[in-house]
Formats: sequence, C-alpha cells, structure tokens
Amino acid sequence: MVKTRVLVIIAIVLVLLTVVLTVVFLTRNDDGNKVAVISVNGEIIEKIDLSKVAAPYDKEIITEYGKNTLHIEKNSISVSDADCPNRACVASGPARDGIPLVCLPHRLVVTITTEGDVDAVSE
Amino acid sequence: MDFYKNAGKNRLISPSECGRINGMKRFFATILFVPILIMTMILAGCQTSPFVERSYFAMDTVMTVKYAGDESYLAEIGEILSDLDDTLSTTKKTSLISRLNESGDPITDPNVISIVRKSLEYAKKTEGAFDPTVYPLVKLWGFTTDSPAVPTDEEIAAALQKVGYDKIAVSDSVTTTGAQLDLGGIAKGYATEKLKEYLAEKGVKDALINLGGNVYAMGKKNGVDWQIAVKDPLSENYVGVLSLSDRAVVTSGLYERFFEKDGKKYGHILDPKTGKPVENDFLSVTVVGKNATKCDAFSTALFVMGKEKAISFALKNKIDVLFVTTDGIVITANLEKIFTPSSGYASAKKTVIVW
Repeated sequence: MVKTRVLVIIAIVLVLLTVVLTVVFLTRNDDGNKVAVISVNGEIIEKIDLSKVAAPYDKEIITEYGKNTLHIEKNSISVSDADCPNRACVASGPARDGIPLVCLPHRLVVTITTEGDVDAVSE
Repeated sequence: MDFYKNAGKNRLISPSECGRINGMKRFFATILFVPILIMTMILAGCQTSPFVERSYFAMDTVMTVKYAGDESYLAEIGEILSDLDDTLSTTKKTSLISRLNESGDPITDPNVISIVRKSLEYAKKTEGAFDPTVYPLVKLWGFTTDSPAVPTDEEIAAALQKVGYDKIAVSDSVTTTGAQLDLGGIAKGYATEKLKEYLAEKGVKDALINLGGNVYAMGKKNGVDWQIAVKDPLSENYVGVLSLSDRAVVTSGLYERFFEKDGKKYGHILDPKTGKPVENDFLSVTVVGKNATKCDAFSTALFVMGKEKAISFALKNKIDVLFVTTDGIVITANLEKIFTPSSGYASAKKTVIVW
C-alpha cells in the first residue's frame, strides 16, 4: 500500500531528524560554553571552561606587575582581591560578554568568549 | 503526455492525481532537506575561527586587535601602537608631546604633524568644542592622576589663558605659542586609522580593532556584520547593539568616571570654553562613521555641545549619532535601521533624526 510506505518514510525521516537535532543541540552546548581567557600583557596564560566549574575556587595570578586573586565559579569569574593601587578590577564585578575584566596596572585581562555574542563594546 | 506516462508507470492517472504525487514528493524533499541543511550548518560551525587576536597596553588603556590573516602581523601592530603612544603621550615625560609641552621643542614627526592638522580641522569645524590644547585644564583638574581636585576659579581662569587651538601652528613642524597639547581626544581614532592602513596593506579584509572602547569593525565576521554594543552609561549593560561593517563606533560617556567633592559630582569631560567639567543632559554620545579619527574628535565635541547644538551639528554635517540623554535616546535614521535596543532601552523615549 502506498499509505504504509508513506508512513514508513515519515517514520524514518522523523528518526533521522531526532538524531540530527540531538547532535545539533549537543554540539551547540559545546560551542556555547562560557570560556574565560586569562592574559597578562597580551599573552594568553590560561583558558578556563566556566561551564564545567563544579565548585567555586580562587586562583592567584602573580606576575612582575603584581598580584590578582581570581574568584571562579560556575559561569562566572571575577577579581576578588588585588594589590594594584585603585582596585578598579575588584570593583568592576564579574566579567561579562563583551566587557572583559581588566587590571590595567597589572596588564591582566580576562575575557569571556561564547558563540553568537556581541563582538565589541563601544564605550 | 509523456510526462504522465512516466509518472504513473503502469497506472493511468489523472492530471489532478499527478499534482498530488508531485506535491508529496516536494513534501518529502522538504523534510529531507531540513536535516541536510542542519548538517551543513553544523559543519560550517565546526570550522576553526580564521581570526587571530591579541591585547595590547598603550595610551593608558587595553587594546584588542583581531583579524583574519597571518599571525606574524601581531608583533608589528604592537609596535605601531607603542610607537604612537611613545610619541603622543602626555603622561610619558620623554614623549615628543611632553617635550613640546614642557620646553616648547617644535615637533617634526610626520605622525604628529598629521594628527595635529586633523585636530585643528576638527577644532575649527566644532568651533572649539573639540580642542587639542586643553592640557593645562586636564592637568589642573588632575584627571590623569588618581587624585583629582576642584581648582579655584582663579586657577581655572589662569589655565584658560593657555587654552585655544589658535595658539598652535603647523607647517613642516608643530609649534605653539604658550599652548600645551593633549591629543587624548583623537589619538585612539588616529591609531585606529593607522592600523586600518597597515592591515589593508597586508591584504586583511576582516578585522575588529578595539582601542579601549573605540571600535572599528572592518569587513565582516564569518560573512555577517559585526555586532558592536554601545555601553549603557547607567549600568553594566548595553544600550543596544549595532550591526555593521567598515565603520568606526566611538562613544564618549560619563559612566561612573566622575569624582565627588562636597556632595557635587564632577565628570571627566572638560568644556574647553568654561574650563570646567561639562554639565548637560548627555549621558553618552556615540558617533558612527567611516573615519575613526573624525568619530573620536566628534564624539567628545558633541558631548561638550549639549543636546540641542549636537543635534543641529549632526544634521548639518550628516553625522550618524546615538545619544543617551537623561530623557531617552536620540538616534539618526541610518543607525536606527541597524540598531537593536537591549531590554532596558526597548521602551525608552526615542527621537529619530533624519538627514
């Protein structure tokens, strides 16, 4: 019967679609991971996948310019302490899409990268 | 009738039935097309980014340059930026500008001649709302230091004596008669233009130049326009996002950068005529255009002018602007087409300028 054949084809297509969509969403989730890129004086020193942070922790970054303590939790990174003069990096709160954490005197920059975000912020 | 024979094989079918079968074929083709399309999109998404990126520290700010091209240009870009900083800085004692300011040494450096020429052009055009000779005022208010202070009216009057773009002359060198230069209001724009030239020379088509929030979007990002947000002067969010290509986006804003003294707030943008921080209904001024130097100078100038004058200046000179005022948003029609307000500004009062 034509009708059963049609149903079979529809079933196959539905199964295919499900598989494809599952793959799409899995890959999307990977692409959409919030990754913090930490650089000092322009050199990338570390990348942290913030979406995979299980428990909050602190990380100290000590360079020739000074010391910053980063507070890292799931999907969030901020500077909790620093020995720079004005501590603007501590006051600025967590890094956000397009707005990096910056400690100018210590030449420390933490950017957050996720797909499909704003590319830059005019300020 | 051959067509009906082929389609129906051993059956005799009517033209209307044939249409139904074709319709079903189209239906299946569509259903199959969707997964294929999605697959293609996934594969396209998996491609590694063609962009290389680096941050630099110059002109007392963070700069990020990102482009699709050879990694080896990164070092030269750093040199261009630090050379300009070493030449134009007012905080580095050894810079050509500092030496001119302190001891009146004339400058013959071609970059300085070119940037001062541009500064004078924009100063004239904005009737002094942009003025490259505000250095005595900047120093007096201490905006470049960690301890800004409110000067007395006498001190301001004395500093104003030394301010005025008519006190600089450019020929084959830059000389001043008592004036001191601060090119901070134009240096990042000028540096952007230098980087644009350099990247174009190297055959780079797509790049994003972000010099401390002065942004230039060159070409496209993976075939689509760059998404450039404008910072909200009142929060850590955005006013909205501009989607564009081959344009500079430069914003002057007060943000949280003011200091308080005896309960009064002082912003960091100085009016070259009064010698005092600008007080008007602007919270931020964004200028969008092809030339980053011009956008840089005009964003400061328009902020100083205030809303009414700035609107007529933008109309007269056909400049694309986005103003955030205490009373809502003012935007030119060209920008409105490519602007997506963020949720906080979706229902803000909006005035559209058409030129």
